[in-house]
Amino acid sequence: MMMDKKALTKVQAIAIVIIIVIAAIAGGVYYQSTQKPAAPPEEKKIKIGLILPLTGGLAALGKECLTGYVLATEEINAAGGIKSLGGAKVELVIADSKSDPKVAASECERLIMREGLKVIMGSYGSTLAYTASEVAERNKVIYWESGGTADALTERGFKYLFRVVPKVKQYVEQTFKFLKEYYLPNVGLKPEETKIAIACENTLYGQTWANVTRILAKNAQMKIVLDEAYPSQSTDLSPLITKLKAASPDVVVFIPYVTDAILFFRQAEQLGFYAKCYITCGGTALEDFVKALDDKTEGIMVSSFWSYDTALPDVDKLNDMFVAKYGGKHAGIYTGVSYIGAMSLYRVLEAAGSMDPDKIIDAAMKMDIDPPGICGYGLKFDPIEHQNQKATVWVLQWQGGTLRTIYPPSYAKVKPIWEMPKWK
Amino acid sequence: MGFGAGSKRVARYILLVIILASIPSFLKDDYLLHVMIVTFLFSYLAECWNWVGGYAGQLSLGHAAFFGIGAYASTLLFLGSGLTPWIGILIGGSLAAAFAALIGGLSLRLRGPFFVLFTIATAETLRYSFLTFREITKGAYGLLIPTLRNDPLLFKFLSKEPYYYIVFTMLLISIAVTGIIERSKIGYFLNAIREDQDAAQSIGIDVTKYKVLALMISAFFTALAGTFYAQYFSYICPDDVMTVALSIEIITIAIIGGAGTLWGPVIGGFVLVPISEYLRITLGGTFAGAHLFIYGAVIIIVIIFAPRGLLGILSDFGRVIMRRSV
Amino acid sequence: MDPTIVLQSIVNGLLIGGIYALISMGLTLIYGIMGIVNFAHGEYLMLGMYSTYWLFAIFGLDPYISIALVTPLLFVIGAATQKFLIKPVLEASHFNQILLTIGLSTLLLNGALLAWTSDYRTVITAYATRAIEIFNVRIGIAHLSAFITAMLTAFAFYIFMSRTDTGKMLRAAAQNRDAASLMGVNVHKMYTIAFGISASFTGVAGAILMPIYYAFPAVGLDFVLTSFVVVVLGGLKSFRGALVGGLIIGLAESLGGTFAATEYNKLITFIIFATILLIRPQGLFKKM
Repeated sequence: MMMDKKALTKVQAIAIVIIIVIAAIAGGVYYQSTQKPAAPPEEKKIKIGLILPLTGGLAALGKECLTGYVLATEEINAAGGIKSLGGAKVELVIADSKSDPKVAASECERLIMREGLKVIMGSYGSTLAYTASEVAERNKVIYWESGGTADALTERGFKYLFRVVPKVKQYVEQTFKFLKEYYLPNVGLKPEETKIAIACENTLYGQTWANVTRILAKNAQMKIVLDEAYPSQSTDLSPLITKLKAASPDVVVFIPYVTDAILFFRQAEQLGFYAKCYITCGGTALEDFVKALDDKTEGIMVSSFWSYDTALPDVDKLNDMFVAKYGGKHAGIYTGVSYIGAMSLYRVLEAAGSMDPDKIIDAAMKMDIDPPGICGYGLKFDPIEHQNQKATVWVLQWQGGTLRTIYPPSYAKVKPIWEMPKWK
Repeated sequence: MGFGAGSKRVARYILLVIILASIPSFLKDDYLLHVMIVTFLFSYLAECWNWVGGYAGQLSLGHAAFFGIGAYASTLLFLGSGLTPWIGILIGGSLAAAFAALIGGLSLRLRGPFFVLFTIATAETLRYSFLTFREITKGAYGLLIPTLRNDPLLFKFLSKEPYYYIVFTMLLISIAVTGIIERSKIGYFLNAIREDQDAAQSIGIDVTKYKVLALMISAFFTALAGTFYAQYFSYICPDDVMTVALSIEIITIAIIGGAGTLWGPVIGGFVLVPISEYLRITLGGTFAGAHLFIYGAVIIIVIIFAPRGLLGILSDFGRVIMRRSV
Repeated sequence: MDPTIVLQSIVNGLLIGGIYALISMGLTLIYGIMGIVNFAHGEYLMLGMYSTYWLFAIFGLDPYISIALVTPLLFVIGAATQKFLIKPVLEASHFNQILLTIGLSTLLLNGALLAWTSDYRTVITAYATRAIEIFNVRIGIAHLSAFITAMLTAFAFYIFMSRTDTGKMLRAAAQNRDAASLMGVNVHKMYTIAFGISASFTGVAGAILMPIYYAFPAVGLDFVLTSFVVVVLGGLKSFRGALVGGLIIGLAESLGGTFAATEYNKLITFIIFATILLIRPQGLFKKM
């Protein structure tokens, strides 16, 4: 017998391995061949890059961002494009960062090197913006951010980076302003008599909130009765809630992701913890939150950098455009900020009359629009960080299962619920 | 142990090295260079793990801890005091070796599953600490290494070629170390320890010393790769560089190729990494986890049907061929 | 310190500890009978949780009713694992056995990720937030019923092991594989049953956890690491150990989280783990 059975199986195994390796290499080569630059356009076009997480863990909101950019681009093109550039229409060159900061950077590199882009928008997530904007800065390409809110992004003092949305510090400052100047007077509490608890998830996001809130609360002479960080992947928040119960705060500043938000409020009811006022941000704004908790969300306040429920004509118009194209009842929060981001960039391009990054920077620095401006946002960049100083922060509140604007008062269509309803 | 005999063998190796080293000069495609760099990196990591797992027979599931220590040590030193990563890399390696000495010393009496559990526990504790002690490590947010220009003295290059050569050299060094271990007293002792620890002890082998030594050497070299990773990818966070999943990836490559052999990890790397990179590109975000799913399946198949890995299959095949020609 | 906080913390700890105990007993069973640590144990829990979730999402079944379906389902999965994957490597080295279960764990976890995405799945039941109050201490109905179910399951298992024939055969196979075989015990059948029972424990645990927690592909990892701590603390071969160990770890996490910062509770668990492995790796109790 030439070969015994066992050897034959192993030969097959090797053959399979060789086939797999060849397939892998073939696949790689195929992938490379699809990376060709686009054919030259016929009508006058300007190309602007857009890097968003369209797949991966952040895809749900990444795709929501895309809707805002698309709506803004369609609107500007329908109105005749960028007139100072000869009526050139905007063409978005979209890249998927796959929710991975390393991919965001390599996609940015690809857009710059292979597509020759000079202006790129993005990013939804701060870590995604962090790496991609560095690639842009290195190559002297404009990076126009309207999603990531981490302070560190603009604190690097990059020349070519601009951020339209507020950074977390601005979020906290404006929310605190709401608390001190609007909420407390309306419930008859003085700052010095207010007991405030700070419970934030333990990554940079939650902790930036905690740090700024702590300073502002101390300055206002509030009593900080609890100040804790917790891991957002906790299986059990009862130690935290037990401590909160003992502290009996008037105001709870709670910054979670979504699963811990759900866990917290469920366990709070279970353990019998009640607080008059919840100021939150992050996970409490999402659909999954209200789906899981339903009417138990009533009265929870949420800081946000936009709201579809705003008493402004251009917001109504955006909602209509969104529903016409994508269905549903209204635009999402990320649709809004993305639309505002794109529109503000197009205005700057209009003013600059050029796609040269340095001229764009000049035009951007000259912008000074007061709110309500574009869908509620003003526009003015500071010279060091290029952070929009006139970005607006809304305070929303869950009422009847939807998020309603309660602050700024001029944007609100309803009155606030001043005290959380008691548990039944 | 493989290819030809004597000096013919050496000539073949040198030819292979020359071919691989000259690839960047004619292959200008960034993406394919990237795949080769990651392949070399993982083959290197598997080779280093092999000294502990394959030769000494200690199933360490916590090697990612050493990798992470290397990455964070050099990065924190660089970001904090501007120390060049060329020196930071050695400091990272030393810290990892010290950590390994600690773990090794503590876990001496642990056998089988207890040792494995202990390595998981320490690696996870380390990862958890890095996530919690944010002031120093920036926790889950990660550390970004600024890459604004070419800086060879600071281990920063704008093109991929220098990284290619560096990691290729590292791989060659790790293979050389394996070769030295195999032919030396250490290798002999580690083999004995793997076969039967108690018997080895009873014939006078200092089991403690060699187990800890193997772990320390492996940790040192694994940490060097951590620094390389940080400098190449420019971004590190605990959930990228310190996870049990990473340890499992390294082990899978060593096992597939053939644990306890010199070429096993290299073969494992060259087969698995291109496949997983390909999967990551094509399926990527929509099918996250596809490549790990396949790794899991491959481990199961290999353990049941071919525990000596691809190298085992190949050498059996070689023997069959020789038998046929007789 | 307010005594109510302490009491509440103790109650919380014991309730969750009961669930830890149930999950850990599966590990103890397999190690005790086969000498194998099943690193994929957490993934069985994950499958139990997802099964409960899908029964709820598609048929609207309450998790406690689903137990009747999930338990046999997980039994079959566990038995199949033993028969097709574990049996071939029973004679192989420990190294390879452990590697196999690690491969299985990776396979199942990422398979779940591919099949069901990383979205978190919750089950919403009416009693999920209700609680009874005794002496100012709140006891969640969902937690309480989970604890009671866990204890009942443990008790049922104790009866099974000590009073039934199959149980006695399992114990024989645990004590001495060859002797039992010579006495006519079908050792391989026992192994299959043991794996099946171990998996079904996690099925019950998965069902009772759903009202309290949420399912996602990597959820097994969180619990399995805690289970390892429990069985090492309790003694890898002892059921009493799994029970006592579970309660102790539950208490440690709860009290640690309440008195130290909430952040550090998992850190405390790991430190306990490392310490036990060093000081007394055989744990508190020795025998089955």
